[in-house]
Amino acid sequence: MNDVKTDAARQQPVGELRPDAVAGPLAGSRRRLWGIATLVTLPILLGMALFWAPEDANQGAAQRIFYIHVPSAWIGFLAFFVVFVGSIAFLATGKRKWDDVASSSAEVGVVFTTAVLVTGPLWGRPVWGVYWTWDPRLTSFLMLWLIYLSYIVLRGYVPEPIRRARFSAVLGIVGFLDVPIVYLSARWWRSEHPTNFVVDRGDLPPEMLATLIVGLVTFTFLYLYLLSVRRSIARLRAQRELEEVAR
Amino acid sequence: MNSTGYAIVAYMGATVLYGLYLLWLLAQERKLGRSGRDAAR
Repeated sequence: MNDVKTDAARQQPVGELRPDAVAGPLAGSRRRLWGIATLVTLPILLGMALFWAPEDANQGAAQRIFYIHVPSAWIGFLAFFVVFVGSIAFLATGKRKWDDVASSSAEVGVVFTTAVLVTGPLWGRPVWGVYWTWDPRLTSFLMLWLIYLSYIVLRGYVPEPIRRARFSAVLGIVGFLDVPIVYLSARWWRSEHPTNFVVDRGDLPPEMLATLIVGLVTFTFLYLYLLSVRRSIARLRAQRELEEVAR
Repeated sequence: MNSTGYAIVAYMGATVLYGLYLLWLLAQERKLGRSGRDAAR
């Protein structure tokens, strides 16, 4: 992109990129709601996962890692789906709100997928005997994490807001193609990783299934809370950028 | 380390990761809010 276009783009965003005003009282009350819901459900999840759910006869206590590992992975996928939708909406409308949603969700998604990459090897060592293996599921998941990490790095290297939003929107859309690959990798290729047995076979004992569902609900609330805080930061940054342009 | 040890480390690791990220976000939000108020004066 040449300098003329860059300057033109710089002129355009002042109106177009105006942040959707300061978060109103509704956003504040929603944020409180997600925070309280997380604080209420988290101890319930920990009680169920660590004490109530039966211990797996083969895997022992390490199986309990499943109750934080699987929800972290699923919410990571949800976060990247939000990036995908927000990126398409930004490219279609040009509204900064969608770039804020996508970039905030990408960062939160990277945290959730980092938790997956931390807890997975800690399950793998006692069950498989190794922390890591270049299994299709693990490798495609590591690639997913690297794609969204590069999304964050890319945003840090492009100072001009419109170009930053456009470049990262393209990466947010293309990067999401890896999510179905991760999900289906255990079926498509020979994989050591447990398949998506909850969906495929439905043979999880009721206590384990209930704990997993509580885990999913808790991590959804945590995601919504972290996303609301991160969006608040995005709005504040947008205000600072507008103030700098106005000076 | 036995199976229970790995489970404890996993739960503690996840707690530290999510907790530190939340603290970092709240600190950033406070810093940006404060600099905005200072600029408005």
